[in-house]
Amino acid sequence: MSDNLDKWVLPNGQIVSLGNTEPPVDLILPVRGVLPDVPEHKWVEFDYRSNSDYKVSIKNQGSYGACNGHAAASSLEDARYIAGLGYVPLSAWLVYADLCNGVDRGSSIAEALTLLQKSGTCDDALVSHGTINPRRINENARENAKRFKIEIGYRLQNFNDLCVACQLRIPFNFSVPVNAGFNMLDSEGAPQNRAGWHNHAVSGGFAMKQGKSGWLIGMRNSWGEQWGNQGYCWIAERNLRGSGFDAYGVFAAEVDPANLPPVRI
Amino acid sequence: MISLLATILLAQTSIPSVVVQPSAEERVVFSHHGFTFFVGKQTGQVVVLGDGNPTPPPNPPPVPPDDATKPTIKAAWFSLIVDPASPEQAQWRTNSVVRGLLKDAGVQFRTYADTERDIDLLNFRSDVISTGLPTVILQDKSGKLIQVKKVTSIEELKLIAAGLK
Repeated sequence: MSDNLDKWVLPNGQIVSLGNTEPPVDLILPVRGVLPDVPEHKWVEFDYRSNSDYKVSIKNQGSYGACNGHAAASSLEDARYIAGLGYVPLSAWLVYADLCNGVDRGSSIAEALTLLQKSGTCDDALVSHGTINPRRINENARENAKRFKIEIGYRLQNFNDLCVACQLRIPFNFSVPVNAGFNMLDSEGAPQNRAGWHNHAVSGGFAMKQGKSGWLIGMRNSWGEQWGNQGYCWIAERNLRGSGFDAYGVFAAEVDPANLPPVRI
Repeated sequence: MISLLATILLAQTSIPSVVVQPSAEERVVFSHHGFTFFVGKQTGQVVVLGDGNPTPPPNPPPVPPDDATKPTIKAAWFSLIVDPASPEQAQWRTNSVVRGLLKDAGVQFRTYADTERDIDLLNFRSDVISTGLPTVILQDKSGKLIQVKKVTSIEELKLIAAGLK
């Protein structure tokens, strides 16, 4: 566990590192243009978790500051579901190992997505839980990772953008401020955190619902199924107040040679 | 002149009028183009009534769906390309009915937003441009194009998927 990252105690007593950091200033993501607008009166509720063919599940980053590796792998799993690709549980550890190079120092959303675009990640079974040393990742896993890559979509600037991305079925990684009250969910299933530094990365885009005081988006955490509502919670606009907000939408890239659609003849 | 008039008057013949009794003959009755025809079964006498205004044509017989909804043999890939700005079309991407129909038919399903680079890699771009969004592209195993079609509703999409069984 890193000494440099903030720590957070889960309800079951487990301690995790909060590993979302600011992206390097020279990192430029190849994002698309402006996110299309979808007016609020056209928004509809949905939740993939009620679909029988939806298999994306909760990951567990243990005590490491590996939230970005986990959020990125989960977003790709969601993007593959939307694209019609078969479910393959993907490794968050390959992503984080390459990001942190063996030192549990956290990472940024932009770095994780850039890596997932360039190198991809492999089947979860090919890298052991808790692997953060990239030299422990074998060639088989590296080769397998070429099958699972993303295409980076839009940069999402605020809560409204997250809602629009949901409506356009674009999964995303986003940051949240974890502080006092984050473990306690209110009657709508949203954390009771306060404004603060966005020190944790999670994934979303799989669910959206209308609450008493506005819309909420589904959030998939990576602290196991013991946290929140079986690992999930809902996020309202108020939950994102603070500084350091970052979010990007992603698409699954068709690079799987084992299951690649043929080029049109 | 007088002789001409006399000739004309002499040439005119009076035609006696008669009263026709109501017919008790059994008739066949039918309508056509605003007229009602009464045809005597024994005499063949025809009486026509009506103003000639055509009656509205009957409902046309059901038209079978066009080629897109007929079973397409050998389709192996079903690609749906949607408008990246349309939330309605975005919902089609995860429609469980469409996915179930294609799974049952043994057809691989893929969906893309029009702005994804995969559209170019798979050589779909020109078809999408010429057909318009949302586009369905059917291919056989080798990638040979079977059909490109613009769809207008989720119901049409379901019909196409159902036709692949």
